[in-house]
Amino acid sequence: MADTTTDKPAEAAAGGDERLAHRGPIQTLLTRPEIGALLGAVGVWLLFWLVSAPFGTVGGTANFLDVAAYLGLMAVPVALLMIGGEFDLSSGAMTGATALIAILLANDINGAGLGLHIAVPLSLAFALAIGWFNGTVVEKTSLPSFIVTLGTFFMLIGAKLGFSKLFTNKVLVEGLDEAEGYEFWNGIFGAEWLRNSHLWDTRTWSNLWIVRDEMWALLLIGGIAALMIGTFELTYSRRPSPNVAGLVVAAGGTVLALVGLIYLLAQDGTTSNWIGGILVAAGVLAKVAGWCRFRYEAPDRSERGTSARWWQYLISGIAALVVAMLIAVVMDATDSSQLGFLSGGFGKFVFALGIAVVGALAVVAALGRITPGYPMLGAVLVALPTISFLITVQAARVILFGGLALLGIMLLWSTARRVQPAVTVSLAISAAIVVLAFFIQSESASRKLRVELFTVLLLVALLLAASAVARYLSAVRTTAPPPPQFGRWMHVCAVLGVAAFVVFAVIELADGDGILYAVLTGAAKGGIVAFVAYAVGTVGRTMLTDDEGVGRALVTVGIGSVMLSVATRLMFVTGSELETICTVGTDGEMRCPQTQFGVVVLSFLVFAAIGSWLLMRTQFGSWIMAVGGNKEAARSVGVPAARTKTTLFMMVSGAAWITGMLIAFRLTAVQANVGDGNEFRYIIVAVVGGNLLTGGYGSALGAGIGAVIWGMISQGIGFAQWNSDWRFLVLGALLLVAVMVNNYVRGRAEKAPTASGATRPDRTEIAIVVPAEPAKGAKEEQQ
Amino acid sequence: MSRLLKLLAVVLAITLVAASCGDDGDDAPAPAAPAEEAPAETAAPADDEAPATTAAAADEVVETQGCDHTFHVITHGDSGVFWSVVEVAVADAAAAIGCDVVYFGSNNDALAQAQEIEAAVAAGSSGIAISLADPAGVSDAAAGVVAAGIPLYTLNSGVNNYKDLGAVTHVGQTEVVAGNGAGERFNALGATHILCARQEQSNVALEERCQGLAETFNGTVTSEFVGLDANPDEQQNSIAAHLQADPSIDGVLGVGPNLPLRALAAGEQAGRELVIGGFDLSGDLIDAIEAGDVAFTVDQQQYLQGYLPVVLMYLQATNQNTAGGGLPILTGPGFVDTANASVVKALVQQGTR
Repeated sequence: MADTTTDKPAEAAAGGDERLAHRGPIQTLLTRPEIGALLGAVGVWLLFWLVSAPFGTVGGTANFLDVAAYLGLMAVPVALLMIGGEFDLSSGAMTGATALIAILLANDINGAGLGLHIAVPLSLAFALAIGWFNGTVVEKTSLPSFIVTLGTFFMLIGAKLGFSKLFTNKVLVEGLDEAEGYEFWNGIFGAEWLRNSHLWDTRTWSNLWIVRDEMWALLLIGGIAALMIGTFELTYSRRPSPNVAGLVVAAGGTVLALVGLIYLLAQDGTTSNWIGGILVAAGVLAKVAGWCRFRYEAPDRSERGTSARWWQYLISGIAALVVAMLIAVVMDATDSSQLGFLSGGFGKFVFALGIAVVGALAVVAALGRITPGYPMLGAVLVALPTISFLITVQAARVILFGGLALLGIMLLWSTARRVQPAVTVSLAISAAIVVLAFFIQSESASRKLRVELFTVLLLVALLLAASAVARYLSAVRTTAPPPPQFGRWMHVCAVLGVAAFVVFAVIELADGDGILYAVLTGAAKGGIVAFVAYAVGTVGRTMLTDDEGVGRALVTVGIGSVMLSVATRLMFVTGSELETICTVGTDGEMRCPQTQFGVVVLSFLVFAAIGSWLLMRTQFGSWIMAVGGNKEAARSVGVPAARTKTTLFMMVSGAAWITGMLIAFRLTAVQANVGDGNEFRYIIVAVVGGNLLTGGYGSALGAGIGAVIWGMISQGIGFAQWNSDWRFLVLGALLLVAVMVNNYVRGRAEKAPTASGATRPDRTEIAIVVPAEPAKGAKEEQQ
Repeated sequence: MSRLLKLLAVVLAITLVAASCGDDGDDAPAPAAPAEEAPAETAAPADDEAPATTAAAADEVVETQGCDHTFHVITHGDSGVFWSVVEVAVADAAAAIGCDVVYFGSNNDALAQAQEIEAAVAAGSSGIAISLADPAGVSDAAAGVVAAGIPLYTLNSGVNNYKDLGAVTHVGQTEVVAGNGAGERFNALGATHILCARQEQSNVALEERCQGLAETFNGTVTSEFVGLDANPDEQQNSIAAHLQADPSIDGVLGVGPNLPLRALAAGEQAGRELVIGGFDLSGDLIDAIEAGDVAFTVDQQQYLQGYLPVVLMYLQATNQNTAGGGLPILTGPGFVDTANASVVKALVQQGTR
């Protein structure tokens, strides 16, 4: 939770003056190394969600997460090592080696097995020794780690093969489950969270008095709201004195949105959906506007010269879009009859023509004195009846809808070049998303698209529009807010969390569940309690004491809420959901898909979190960056380069040990070549996550996201039932796209100006400025 | 600090060595390692009736003196479950005939295989047996064998090419015939839609198994690559993905020994009842067959593919016999199902099946 993507001291320290400058949270996010991977992950998920029914389900998610976790568990330390400027080619072979050693040592080799209690720690010692060896040899000989670890890689492969044949006469080493101490170690490495046995649809104390779906929705909505307000707090300047009128408007907007939401949920019908949706949208916009007026300083518009023309463009653009959507809804997409006076489409035609004329008049009226508009309108009015004899209802609908939508978006877009571009660009994009949503809703045959995607797109458009409104109303910060002071409150949260953990674990134990379930369930619920305490305490305190750090606290809470929301949905099942997924087999036996999350997923998440924390918040993280960037320079300022690198090598081999144990306890038999060749996957995944092959820059979290992308692609191809022969083509293409998006986005965001000082140039330049000649580009833009 | 670490590493190394040595010392006859350089040292009685097991008592070794032939078995094999049995068979046969036999597995590297064949020719081999997984890659080298007047045999893969190359005969299983057999089994078991899961891409033999399945199977066959043996978790999840994406799949044929077990786990994960068939053998697979979780596995009896070529080459070198009569010698398909699983299990544990 600590590793929010909004801030990073290590990066801020890189440039002198930049420390004083303030980058908005969005801009800061865009300069993060993992941003391309994040966008890529969302894109890949959407792609497979669209083409495959089971991919987006919980079962599908568990499936690709499992593949991603085995990869990511290694990719995170490998990424740290890469940032430190080295490679470990032995990492893949190492995973299988530790598994093999554990089974060979533990098992009955010629009647003298050591048992797992000795074998498992010994295999860890072996792994760490190899890591230490790699690091030391690289340091002492100054050879490239590529060569040294290549040697270790071959030695490991040979040793795996040689020893397994020597002891078992086979290359498949079996029988882990017969070794002494199997039960104990399997409880650690082989534990699984079986979702089907975690029902959460009753209001009991141990379920926190809330059913899963309520909890899920609450956390999601709350999280998004916290993220939004937190982003505002970080972006905009505070008002010296609060504006009470704004607060009243905000409260009114909130009430309106809630009324709309309740109406939407209570009624079921197209009309009520429309009314409810509009009420919610109006309420949210009013709330945001009111809140901004209440809390943030108004921008200085003296230089901007808002003209009446801007408003005309804006209004006419919106009018065109509304008309376009009305046409899409009113005219029948499946009606292939001819338009014209004699056919049945006549009434519809007249109606459509009516709206078209009204819309066109609105546009012309808004544009005012634009003279070319009149002859064009005349031509359209004459042409329409003529066309109507020739084309069908469907065709007319598509032409009218498409044409007007395009016109509307272009009008909105063109306003971006006049006044306060960021606002209008957001508005234009938001409008385009609305049009896209309606287009999908009216054209698609799939319920998934018509209902789910439609709703999500409308919400995204609403959020964008709200942020545009906020931007228009508020002045941008010029200094970075200080981080919030957590103080003793963190201790209080920890105590509360532990107490809740004990209580819930005892309740679970009393219910007769196993120890592992009790511990995991208790940990999950204790975590929720600690999180709620943190959210209420930190946000409340920063609000009350007028602490500038409230924005950062809110963003942390928002991200946490959204993640918890997803986790709640993934980890718990409701009775009604169970009924829909289970089937009765031919033998009369009930069969349910066993969605399970193994320890591997947990380890992966913990590793990604710890890796990010190490890199971003600790001295060791700064050392990693330093030795990877320039080892000699790092050494001369007192960074213990050799120790840092050796530690990194040992971290990689330690992770390989965990991976090896997880594989061993999952299969109980290990083939000598398990893991061989995966070292390149780890490196590839780390690069996709935004890590540089040259070292000195990167992100542990990014490597984790890269692993998830790999998992989604390799499993998604199966889910989509595409022929697996094309697998690597798709994989390669998507990976390339992810890396290119990464570079592009980061490049743009870094070139973007910071909000420091009065000479802050206009935002539109970003797209036009040529790196070598920024001044010239700016001049051209102003003309 | 670093001195401490060094000390720790030394202690650790000693512990490890001691641990493994201790294990060896407990049993007087150490299990014979079919080492690549010195197969003749393999402890086994010179007995040409049944394939001798390598764990036989060391006391009975009869070192046959005076065999002046050296034979070569050069395959594309990797270090997997399958090829280790071939290697054991080669070593057993070498011990049986009392000659030096050099085994080399190129791990799917056609170039390395070709180079090894050329080296064997240069060394004056008395007989060379090769596998033809990549006919185009090794055919030049194989032509060189025939040109040098050395008897050439093919094993495992190459049933379509051995004649063109001038090989005496081919010892192996035709993959299509094996697939046909699996298809008939699935018909009898009442399956309607089979996922033919492959552990390698662009491996002709594996593709042919799936083709053979489709030829005789009455229902639908979907043939897909599901992940390498080096990534067992990916294999299981990929099969589960296919099951979830297509509810009509009610059977899985894994064309290797590991995949049937992955399919078993995937079926549980997806909550589906499956008829599972496999190819080749491993201890866990036989356990699953014994338990009734896996219906059958197609065994191509690769021990024969290692043993027979050595004996055939020996007989040709010493007695001018040529077996096969221009036709391939088929080693399979044999089937392992609940009926014979327990018998085969003991043999698998010895590493000869």
